[in-house]
Amino acid sequence: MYSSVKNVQILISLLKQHNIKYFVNSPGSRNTPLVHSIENDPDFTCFSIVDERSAAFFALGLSEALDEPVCVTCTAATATCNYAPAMKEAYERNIQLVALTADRERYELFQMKEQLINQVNMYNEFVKYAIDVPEVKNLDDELYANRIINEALLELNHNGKGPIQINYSVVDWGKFSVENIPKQRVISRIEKEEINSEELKKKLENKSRIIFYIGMDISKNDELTKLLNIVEKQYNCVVLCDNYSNIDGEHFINASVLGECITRNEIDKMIPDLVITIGTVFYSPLRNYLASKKYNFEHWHIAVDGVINDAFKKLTTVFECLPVEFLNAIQNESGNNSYQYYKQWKDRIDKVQYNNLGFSNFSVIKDFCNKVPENSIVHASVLNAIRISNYFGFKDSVKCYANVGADGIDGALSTFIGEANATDKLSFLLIGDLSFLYDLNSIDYVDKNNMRILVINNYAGAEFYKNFGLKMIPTLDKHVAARHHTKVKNAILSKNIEYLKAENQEELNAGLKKLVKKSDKPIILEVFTDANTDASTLKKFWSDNKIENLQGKIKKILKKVLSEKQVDKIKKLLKR
Amino acid sequence: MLIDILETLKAKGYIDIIYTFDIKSEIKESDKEYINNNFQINNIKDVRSATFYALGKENLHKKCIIIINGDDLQSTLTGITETWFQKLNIFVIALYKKYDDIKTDFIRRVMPNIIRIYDEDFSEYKSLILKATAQCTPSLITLKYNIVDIKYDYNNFIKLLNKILKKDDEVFFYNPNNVLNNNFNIKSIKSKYKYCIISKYMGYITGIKKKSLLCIPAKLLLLDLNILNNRYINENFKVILFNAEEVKEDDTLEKWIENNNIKSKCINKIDEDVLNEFWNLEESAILLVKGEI
Repeated sequence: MYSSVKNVQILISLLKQHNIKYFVNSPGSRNTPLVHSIENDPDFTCFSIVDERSAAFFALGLSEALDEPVCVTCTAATATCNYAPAMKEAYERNIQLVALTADRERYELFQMKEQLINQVNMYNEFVKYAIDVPEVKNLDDELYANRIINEALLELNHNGKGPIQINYSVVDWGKFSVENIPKQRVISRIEKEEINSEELKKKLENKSRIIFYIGMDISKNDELTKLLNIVEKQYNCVVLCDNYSNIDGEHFINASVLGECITRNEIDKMIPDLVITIGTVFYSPLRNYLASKKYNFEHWHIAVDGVINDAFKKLTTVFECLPVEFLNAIQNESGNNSYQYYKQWKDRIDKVQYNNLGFSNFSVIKDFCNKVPENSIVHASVLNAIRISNYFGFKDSVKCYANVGADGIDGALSTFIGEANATDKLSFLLIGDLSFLYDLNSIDYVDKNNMRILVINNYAGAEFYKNFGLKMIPTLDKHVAARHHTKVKNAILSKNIEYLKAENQEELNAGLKKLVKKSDKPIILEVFTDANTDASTLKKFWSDNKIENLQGKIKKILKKVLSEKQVDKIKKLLKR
Repeated sequence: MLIDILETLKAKGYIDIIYTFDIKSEIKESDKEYINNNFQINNIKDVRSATFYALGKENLHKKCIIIINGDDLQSTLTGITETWFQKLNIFVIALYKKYDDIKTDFIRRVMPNIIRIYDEDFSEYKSLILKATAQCTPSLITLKYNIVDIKYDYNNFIKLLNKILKKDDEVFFYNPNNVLNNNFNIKSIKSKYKYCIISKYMGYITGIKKKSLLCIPAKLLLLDLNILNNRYINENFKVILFNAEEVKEDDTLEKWIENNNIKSKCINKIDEDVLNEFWNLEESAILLVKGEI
């Protein structure tokens, strides 16, 4: 019988599926749920050595002889410290030692309770990877535990062999009452040389709803665009991308706008049976919809460094290769896309209406996107600059950049200056006031005549007007939205920059006209909008474009009619 | 520099020095003389035991300084963790051959005071050390020191082994000097991996499921004594412990070995007949050799 402790079950299932067979156990209570579960399991071979330091060295020798991973298990506290000498040697000699350190009640660490030391990543510089598996109480915990255990086990022989630490909480010893442990989702990593092209093609041919989801891609590879345009015609798929993927094709869809406009009822009907992801970050809440627990589809990720990006909590395979190498492997001349699935996405996108934008940051960005000429480059700063520009897109030959990775307010101006200095193409920066002023130290380097900066100055962080608003936080301007009275005009410390401003549509049209033309100097166009209007325009746009079913429509009406308190009460009642 | 450190600690009441493993023989004569004249000396081979020993002394208000080879720092983690909980101020001085070898991030959580000494001007370090003595927590001082890596010459022994071992046979040598051509496989164990060599060897022979020979100075058994008491020792276990006289003059070590059902023999000189008999014995065996091999 196996332990009833859920994270122990997950661990055992994944150890089996990653073909790890050897254990050296040291006695202790905390690791008993694991030890007793595996000692009678014919898939594992166990050894018992009391002194954990000797046990870890025994395991090290065993692993060296077999050239296979060997697990060591011990109880909590100083028991785990005794693994340190062997972990160091294993790290320096590239030996696959798996330290399974059982841990206790995390919340009582250092609160006068014995046997509680900080075990998380305790071997620090002597492990390839260290994880801390929480007590599993719900599906979120389970998915997290599953993913990180997969990650750790995959790291044992990734880019060289070496030791890992899996620290896992055992708060309650549980019972040995489980006859069969559920098989967990295993994540596999397939390296370039291991790709079986024919097998992949067969799998893909059998799918009727494939999404190629292309996130931010720093490679900006034209070959990728070319191959995607070939492959998308050969399978029943749709290619979803955004400005920052820097790819274009007849059947590619920038679905970013749906992230905020689509409803759960709609997405229910558009669920794929396979998602193939390329790139690092998807700047759209669409990702969150697809990550819903109720959907069950396969996810393959293509990454040159082989890292695990479990964007939808359904990842099964990582292909460690360049995206073009993967696409080459799946090229299938005899295949044919019915475009049924594509049409479903296209029809929904086509229903989005851009009405009543007024004079807001939304309308300004719309006009800007439209005006940026062919063969330019664009850099967008954080939040609305990336978000709203993604709703419109640019001309196909325009290359787009943004610091989407960590998505911070800092450094957009400096990054843009670097980019504009690396090309003679017209280079545009779309930036908000806070982000611009944040990075003002680089203003002196705005000195090349291909540089064009559009600053939308609403004298505050408009994002906070959207997220909270004055109604929720009357003092919003004080600290949260950091309201100021600075005009960018006064912050330009050079006479070699042409300054333009726009406070209305007419001035904007004139400003944009100049902005996209050749000039001897860099140009800054400062456009003034109102933060409150900006936030309400955006929210109204989303609301107007939601296609609700009857239930949704009723909800919408109730929200309009009832007070917030009344809505909360009804929500509580329905939950009961 | 070592004298400066010790002088500073002595002024704060640290009067016990604990030498671990071979570190005493690594200390310069002038440093050693100063230590002999100013401190009470304790010798505890295993660094892990030394930290617990110091903890015991500190419980009775004897302030301790443990001197270790920096290679062995990992083995202090267990005792230092307990010391940290008990809020006692043990000083560990770790001597390193090279700055590159100093890796201490793993132990910072229980040794908040880590003083890395890099240059010759001691005044700045002195204030850090004094500050550390006032805190109720273990402290670590790392110091580059002229540590000699003692190598062993196995060439005469290899000539002997060439007559007995076959091509696929494996022999583990601890820190060998240049080795002669040989008919069998040689695996070297670096001195920085001196802890639990027998444990590691046992795991190895369990994995390869055939006998191999382990050849180490007998004193290393003192860093791994308890491993002889386990259930996985079988006829593939063949260990030669040389310089046995450095460990015990009497037969207590042999008795511990035999109590664990391992055949044991202590000899003064190894020859072909003895080696042949030992290697072909159908049971686990340890050969204790007095002197070099």
